[in-house]
Amino acid sequence: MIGRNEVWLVTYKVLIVDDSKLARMSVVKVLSTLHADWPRIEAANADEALLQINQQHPDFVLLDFNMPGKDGLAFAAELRHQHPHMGVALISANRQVEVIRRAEAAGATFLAKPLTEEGLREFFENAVKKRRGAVS
Amino acid sequence: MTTDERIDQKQVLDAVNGGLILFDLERRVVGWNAWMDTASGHSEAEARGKLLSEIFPGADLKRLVFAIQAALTSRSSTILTHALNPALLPLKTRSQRPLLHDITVSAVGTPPIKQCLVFVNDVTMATRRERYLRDRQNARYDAVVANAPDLIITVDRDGLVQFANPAALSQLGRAGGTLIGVAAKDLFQTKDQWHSVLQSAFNNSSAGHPIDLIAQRPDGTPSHLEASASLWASGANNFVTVILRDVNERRAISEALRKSETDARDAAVALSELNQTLEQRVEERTARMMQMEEELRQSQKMEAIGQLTGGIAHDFNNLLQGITGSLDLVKKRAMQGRFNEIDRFISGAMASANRASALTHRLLAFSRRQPLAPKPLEVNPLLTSMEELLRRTLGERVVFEMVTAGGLWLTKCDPNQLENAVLNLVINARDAMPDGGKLTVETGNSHLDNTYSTVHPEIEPGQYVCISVTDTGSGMSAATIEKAFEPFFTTKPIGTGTGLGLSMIYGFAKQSGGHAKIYSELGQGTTVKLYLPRFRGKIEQDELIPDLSEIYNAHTNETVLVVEDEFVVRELIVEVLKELGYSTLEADDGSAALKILDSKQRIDLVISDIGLPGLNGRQIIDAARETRPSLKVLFMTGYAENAAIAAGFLEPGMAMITKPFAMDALATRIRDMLGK
Amino acid sequence: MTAPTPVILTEMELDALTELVNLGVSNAAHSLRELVREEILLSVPKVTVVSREEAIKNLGERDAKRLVAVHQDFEGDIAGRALLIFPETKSLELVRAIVGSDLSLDEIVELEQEALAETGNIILNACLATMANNLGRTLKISLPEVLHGAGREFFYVKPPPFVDDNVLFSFINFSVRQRNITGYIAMLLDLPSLATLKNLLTELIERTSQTAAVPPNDN
Repeated sequence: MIGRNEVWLVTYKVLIVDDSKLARMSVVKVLSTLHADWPRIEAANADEALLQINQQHPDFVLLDFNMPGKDGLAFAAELRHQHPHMGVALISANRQVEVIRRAEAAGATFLAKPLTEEGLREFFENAVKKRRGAVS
Repeated sequence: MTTDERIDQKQVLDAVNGGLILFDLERRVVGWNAWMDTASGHSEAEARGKLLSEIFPGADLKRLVFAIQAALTSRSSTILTHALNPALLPLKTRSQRPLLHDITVSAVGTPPIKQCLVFVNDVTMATRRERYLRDRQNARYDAVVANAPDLIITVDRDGLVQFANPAALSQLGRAGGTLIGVAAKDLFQTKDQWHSVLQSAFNNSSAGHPIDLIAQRPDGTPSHLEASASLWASGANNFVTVILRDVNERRAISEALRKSETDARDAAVALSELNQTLEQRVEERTARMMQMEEELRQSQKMEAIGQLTGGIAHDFNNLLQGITGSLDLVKKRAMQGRFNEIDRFISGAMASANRASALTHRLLAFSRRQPLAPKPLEVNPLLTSMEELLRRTLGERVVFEMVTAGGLWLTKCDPNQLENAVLNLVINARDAMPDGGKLTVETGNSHLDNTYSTVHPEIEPGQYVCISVTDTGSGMSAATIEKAFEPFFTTKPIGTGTGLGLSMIYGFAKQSGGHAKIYSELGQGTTVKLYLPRFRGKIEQDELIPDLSEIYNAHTNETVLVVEDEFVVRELIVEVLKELGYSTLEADDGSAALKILDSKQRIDLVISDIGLPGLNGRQIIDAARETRPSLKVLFMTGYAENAAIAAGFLEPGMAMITKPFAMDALATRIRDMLGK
Repeated sequence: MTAPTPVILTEMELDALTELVNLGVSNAAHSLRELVREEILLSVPKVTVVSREEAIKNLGERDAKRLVAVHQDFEGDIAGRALLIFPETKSLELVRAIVGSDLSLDEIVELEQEALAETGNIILNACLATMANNLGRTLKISLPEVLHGAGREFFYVKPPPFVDDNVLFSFINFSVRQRNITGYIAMLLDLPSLATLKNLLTELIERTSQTAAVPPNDN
């Protein structure tokens, strides 16, 4: 377990997608608590997110479940096809079992809203392990 | 609060006609009233300090506990109705029946909240009464609606189906098995009419008579319905119930009537047209078929010929050799004066010549275009006469055996076709034994009874002559057997077989009133059986070739003119004539012959070749007959075709003999013509 | 007497409010699942602040449409009335969505009141409680009441008397058992309450935007 104040040797870029600015701010807050030095980018919907992904090439994407236009679930499924090594988390206050299952079926980790440090940390650790496994 | 006040409070609470439960921050019971004692079966003392899950283990308390927690945490009030939550707490009425209840949960006091209150309200009576009323209503209503053959649907103000009876569901139901929530207009093809039915109903201004609508069944077919609608209200909601009567059958019947009339008329017209063209078509087709048959037969013969010529030519050479060689030796012996040895060689030469003659006859028969001319015949002699030919065809590596049955019945068929058939079977058999084997040709009488006929319905029961050809070759698979008689079916490599042989044989058998059958086993061999029906008549006796010993003596002065351009043949004939005692004259072509014929020389008979250089035999005789009208002539011809043609215009006093002929035959003909 | 200064919520504040309401209905969905036993999706696209007249208009251009509403009153640092509103015809569909389609029309009609009451109760409680919680306050929330009528009636019913004309208004999208129902959420607030709300929202935003350090941004 990597401690809170341990310095990771590598920084990862994180994309945060949510149509609510408050929600994005909230996620950023948690993220900075964990990894203040990791660069982060924001998008308000799936289209903007796609743009950012192609330009900025983030390593992780934190998606809101409920967005206008293409919702988080559909977008997560897309990302799995196009960027299979990108770590994707779906964030929702709607923690019904079906929702969690569908998130996992789309290849994403489910994180409950409001986001907690533990939740986010666990996600990063698992995602990094998977990346290392896949890339090596 | 003083103890008295608390007791008073308690009395008030106990007087409440409903359950009151107080919970602390940990959701433990602080206390409850007397009503709860009775309803729960537990005293307050027992419940105090416990969690609900401890007091009522096994109850589904999730929602209630959540509500209590929400009240404690966020001061929210929650209602849980019996209608939606049938089993909140396990409470009983005084008569131990289930106590149906609603529950409300609220926070107590001002923040910081320390307690929450749960109130339990008995709704048993109200619920029961409603249910009873409804059941009664429903029973009557349901009995009618559920069993009605008419389609009954209820729609709300938005046109959405809120109810559909079984008849409606079965006729209009879509996938999913329900019509609830479906926009009713989607069920109809005649949407405008439907809309007006609905509108007038909601406006309480129905037409007063049923309106015709066309609905769409899930498979897309239309359904004709008559609709009548009425408005009713339930609570704050207005509904329209529409009864749709199925009139499809009624329509269908009238449609059918109308259609059948039209159909009858059309059919009559078509029929007369058909009749006219039918005869014509049948004729055309028959002509085509016959032509095709001919061609098939012909090409199949050609194939057989192709098979034969190689071997036959070889054999002919041998035979000629036999003849010439024998004659050579005759000459030698004669010169040596060893006359007693001549006879043997002469017989040998005769035998070879006969065999060669037989062979040519066979060949000619095959190439002859002759229609099927069935006649009564004996199969055994026919086959026996073929034996040589068959042996030649088979070659040396195949052991050949012919087994002819005694007392074989007569049959009636075309002898050429029969020879053809047997030859083809033998060729097939030979091809099936490329490394040699055994071939057996057998004849026998056969009785095909009713049992056989049952299995083979195409054949009449009765008496048959059976000719079978058996080989020890590669055999045929069941699939091949099935197709073997089909025209053009062949298992031989391309170019080596037309595939027509067996189909011709089958056709021949059928035409002769018989049957053909294949028995075969892969790796063992094949037997093909030809069944020809028994002929119950008598055969006309063939011309018997007379005995050599009979000598026909010529009358004095009978003179025969021999016209033949071939010296040897001419000399032979002259020699025979002289032996028979006739005077002879010779001519080697037409003009020489005519010179003689023009003279006053007595000529009793002319023996003339037909195919002469210059004037042909026929022309000569025609010319001669101008001065000798009753001149008798015996034409000789080496070509059967010509013979056939010539036979067409033989006049009285003319006859024909086919070369090569035996001298005896010649003698007999001459005598016949000159009259004895 | 001077007219009270209107309270305007900024874009950011509305954004925050929308997020809070969304959090609330998501929690509601979770609770509602207990009742319905099937997956529920609830979402609120955007909360706006409008006048009562505007809100009534938003409830449907077709005046003939009758509505059904569940309302709960709340008091505390913010006081007002919260409403969950559906077109009357949709209510039956909602009830079917909640209780399933096995019941007859009669049964559905009978259950309508209870079903609406409980459903509205769950949703409104969750919304209000989540809002209050995130804003660091508690509200005393009443039991639900079901009303049928026109929008006008809902927004002008007394008590409590609302002098002011501020309605927090949004559509709410309800998805369960393959049914999709759109309704409305409205919150009537008096002026002081709206002002308080604004302050609380500002505080929330500030709290949220505080981060541990300023990160480098790759742009």
